[in-house]
Amino acid sequence: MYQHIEEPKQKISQHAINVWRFTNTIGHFIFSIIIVVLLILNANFEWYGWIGYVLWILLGLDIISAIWSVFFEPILLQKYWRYGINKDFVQLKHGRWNMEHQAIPMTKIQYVSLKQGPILRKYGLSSVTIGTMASTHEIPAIQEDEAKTIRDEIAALAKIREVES
Amino acid sequence: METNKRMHPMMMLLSFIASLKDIFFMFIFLFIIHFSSTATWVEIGRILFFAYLIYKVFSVIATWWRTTYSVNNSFIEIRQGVFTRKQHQIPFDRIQNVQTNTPFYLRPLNLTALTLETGAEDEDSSFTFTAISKQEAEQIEHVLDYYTKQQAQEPEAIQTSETETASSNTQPVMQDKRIVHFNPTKKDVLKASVLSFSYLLLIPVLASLLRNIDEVYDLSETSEKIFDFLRESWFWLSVLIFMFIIITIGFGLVRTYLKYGRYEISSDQERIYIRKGVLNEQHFSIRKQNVQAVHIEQSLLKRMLRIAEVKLISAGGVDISGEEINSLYPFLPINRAYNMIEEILPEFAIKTGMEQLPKKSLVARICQLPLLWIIGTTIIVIFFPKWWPISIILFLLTVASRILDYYFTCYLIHGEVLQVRTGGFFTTTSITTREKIIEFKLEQDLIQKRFGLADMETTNRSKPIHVNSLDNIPIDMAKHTFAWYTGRSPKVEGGSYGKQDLYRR
Repeated sequence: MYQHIEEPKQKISQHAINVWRFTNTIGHFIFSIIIVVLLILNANFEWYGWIGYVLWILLGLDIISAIWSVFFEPILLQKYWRYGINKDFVQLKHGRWNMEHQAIPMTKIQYVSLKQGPILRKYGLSSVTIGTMASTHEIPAIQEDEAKTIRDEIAALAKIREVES
Repeated sequence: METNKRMHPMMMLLSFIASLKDIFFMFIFLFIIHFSSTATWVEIGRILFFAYLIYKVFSVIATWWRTTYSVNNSFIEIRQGVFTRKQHQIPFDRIQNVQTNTPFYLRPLNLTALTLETGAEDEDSSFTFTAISKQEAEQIEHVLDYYTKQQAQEPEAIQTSETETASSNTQPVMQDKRIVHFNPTKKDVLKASVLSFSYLLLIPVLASLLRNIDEVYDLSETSEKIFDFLRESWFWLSVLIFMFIIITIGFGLVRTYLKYGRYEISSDQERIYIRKGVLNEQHFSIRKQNVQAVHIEQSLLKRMLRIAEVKLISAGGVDISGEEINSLYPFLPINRAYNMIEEILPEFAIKTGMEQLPKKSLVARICQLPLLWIIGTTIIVIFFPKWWPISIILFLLTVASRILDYYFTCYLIHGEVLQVRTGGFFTTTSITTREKIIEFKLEQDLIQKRFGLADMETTNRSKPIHVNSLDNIPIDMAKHTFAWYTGRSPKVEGGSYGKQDLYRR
């Protein structure tokens, strides 16, 4: 039954790990700075007693989550991210423990666009955003030239319109 | 083709009355509550009030004068705005739904309100002619129908080979003819009046009535006397209770009759037409090809009485003033509902014999974190510790709903159709076709992987988008459905693109 649909095979770039590590580090760094500032303020002004405890708990949680999302999560995410494009469907699949597998018919795609932030540019990567009538989907961090090919391919294939849509 | 037209002059009166409604509260405040007050601010308020009224008279006239429309061959053009002019064109092929709404006060004047709905997302997505003559409304509908018919003929000529077999061989004869599918019988209205619980509305109505009277005349003494009298005489008490019940039932019946009495569902090749309301007559139509999915909804009570509500999920909103208008009829006998869907929308035909889920799915359902219960219990423990039994009731309800959900959830794929029933106390059967699903998603977390289960989610076009999910189904079933979906072979404009349908049972 499952044979005539091909599981998506294409992987995203190995550099994605570094990109995610970098962005996650920045994010957690900013968050912990805010918490630390609040803690200092808390020590100097007379706030409610429970605010201090909440802040310490938040800081602890942030450190744990930072360790996870900087050292482990990017590796796993990159390892299991797959996408596949054929003339009928775009398929996106990611996650090992929390698997998510999505099929989007080519004819229902309304736009494709490329995105590139400073960190992605450093590694020569791009992410492709695919928008349908319902929602938007992203293939994160693939080689820039490959991303362009994908964009053009989807744009060409999505031009074909289904009857009655 | 046409010159610019204005709406019926009644529009002025209507919008004036509508604006009166907005300032009714101010009127009460200034002239009734502060009736004898001569304070300066009240005086100023009154002057402003009259100034506003006079301004409104002129603005209503100016708006009417400056709002014109013209019907062309392929679009309707509307010009609005007193000082800043706004031109707005609605192309016919963008119009998804046409509705007319005739409140009882417009009926004797032979007028109606017509709304054109387009599928667009912004605020210009619909336009309402507040008051136009019935003939004019009919003419606009006629022009629209003519246009769509012409459009429909062209592509069909190319694609005769690929039209759906189901619809083309059953109904070539009855082009154009409207078939009436449903008129509620007396029995249906009776059932509806029981189920709609509209008789319960009498209680707040009576309460507010009494309160109003009480404000003017002091009722407390008389009511005490009446109360004492009744306590002594069982006969009068029972008479009173009896009368009360009769009145409630009568009230419920009248209300239901006014709402669902003269109801008619009909259809032709193109559209589904619904007419409803006795005092306020509403007509609306939905293009058949815009229907993305059909829902059959049943509460526990309705299931016992074998009654169901049929809803159409359609592209292009069908919602005026918050009233749910996508419902075909909320109290259809279940068998009639099935037949009717088959008659009106043969592509969404329902089959019986849906597959149930395996036992492990029940286990997974029970194991799920009862988030609602946890949140509820936390709130109760923190804020209302005395009410702790509610937590137990909530927990039992959660478990019961999950068990029921397991029993009622079932699923079937036949041909192009995906049929899914979900829900515990309130079940929804959703029927959609492969072509109308615009996204398909499988999800599986760590626990589900152990059990060999997965969640499935389909998305349909609608406004807002319509997502239907089926949780904790066996992974084989999920993959099977995935394969079914990816085997879709859409008809494509201008030629035979798309792979052959490999999968068909």
